[in-house]
Amino acid sequence: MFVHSTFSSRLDPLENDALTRVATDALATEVWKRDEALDRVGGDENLLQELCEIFLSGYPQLMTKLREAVMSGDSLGVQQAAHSLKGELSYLSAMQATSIARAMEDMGREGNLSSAVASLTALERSMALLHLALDKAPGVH
Amino acid sequence: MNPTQNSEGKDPVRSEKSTLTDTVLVADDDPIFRHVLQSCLEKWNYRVVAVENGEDAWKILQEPDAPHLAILDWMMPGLDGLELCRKLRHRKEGTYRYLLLVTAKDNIQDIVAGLEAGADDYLTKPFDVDELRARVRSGTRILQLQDALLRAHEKLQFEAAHDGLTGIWNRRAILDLLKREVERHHRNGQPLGILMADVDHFKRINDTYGHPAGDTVLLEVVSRIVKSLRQYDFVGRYGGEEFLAVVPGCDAANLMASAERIRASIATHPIDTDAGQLSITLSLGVVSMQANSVFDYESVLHAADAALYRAKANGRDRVEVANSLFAARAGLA
Ligand SMILES: [Mg+2]
Repeated sequence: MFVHSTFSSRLDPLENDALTRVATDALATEVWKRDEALDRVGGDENLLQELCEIFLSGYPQLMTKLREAVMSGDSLGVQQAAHSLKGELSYLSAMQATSIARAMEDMGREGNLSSAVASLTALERSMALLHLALDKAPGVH
Repeated sequence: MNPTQNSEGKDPVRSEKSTLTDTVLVADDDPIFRHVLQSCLEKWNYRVVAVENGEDAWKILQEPDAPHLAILDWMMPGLDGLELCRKLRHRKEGTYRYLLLVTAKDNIQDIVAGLEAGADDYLTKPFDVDELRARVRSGTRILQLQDALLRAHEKLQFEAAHDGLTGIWNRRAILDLLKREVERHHRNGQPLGILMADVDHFKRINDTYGHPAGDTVLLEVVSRIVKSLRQYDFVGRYGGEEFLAVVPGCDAANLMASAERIRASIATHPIDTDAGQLSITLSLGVVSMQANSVFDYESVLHAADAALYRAKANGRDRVEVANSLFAARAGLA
């Protein structure tokens, strides 16, 4: 999948550089605040795992909807798909992706898709990082 | 799409231990939120019915035994949470449903619209489980309070119409019933019987054996009167030791037989009280109203009272019928 080929290769060479690792960790926190998500579900590890699995199996479809809506200039479609994504992402404390999805929901609502393609690209990148993070989380298959 | 039931696949509304106030309807198009809500609520021992669109939620909420508490997602394709709130509040009949509307935190202006549409409370996504629990608890509390209020109201209504000691109709209620049955009798011409019964020498029982024994006697007398009549006859406490029975659709012969049965049921078996076995007797006055009678309920009452008086005067432990007096009062003698 594009996720692994793009991002694994970009992150791997940085492994030995301590300073960069700090930066990567900071970025990772923005990608997924796992502790915050765990707090939200009352510390229930099992529940969090189940939610990650539901998310992983369901988000590609939402991304496809969003992509198609952006490409066809369908504002309402953008608003709806971005809204669904935003809800799930914010619940999982995927900070970065949440804010992009929220911005895209606003674009859809306002009917202004002029920067929707750029946002979509940014969201796809962020989702790929999130996918990696969730996939690596203990107990998530 | 079919509503997804709780994990055991049972219908929680109908399951044995369930009460309607602890079953929750969850309507959310998002699988993550459906899962969070269902897992948490079940962990807190609520039964959950989860659906993924507003149409299914609307269908379930219209059923008479629908959950009383519903968590509705605002944003759902088709019928959304806001519209669901409006539709539910426009229904005229039915039990109160507690509606918890779920909206996105960055659409906070929605909340006012949601509350105006009839939501009781709201929850913003991403909510944490403690907040969810608090909101659901306060909803449950309000529903329980409402339930208690309803039951208190029913209890008050019962108490207002029933005698505190014996549980049969009280004086006002039995008189209302008599009035209603006399009116019905005038409309449909069906025979109507009235029995007025008085425990003989009751004051002496109270004075000799005490009020607790007197109460036991009253309870047992009522029990025997009720057992001697049909389930749809009305028995009320007319005075201290005086009872009135309204017996619809019963001809004179059967009415007489009933009265005699009651008298015998008291006289032939002594009553067990804490003060020992007491031999009790009962006097009865009987009025039998046949088709074409024109008497109002006050004359009927008067006639029954007069018959009872005669039963007392003629030696007690007996039944007297009001025919002659009745006819005389009606000018038919
Ligand atoms: Mg939704």
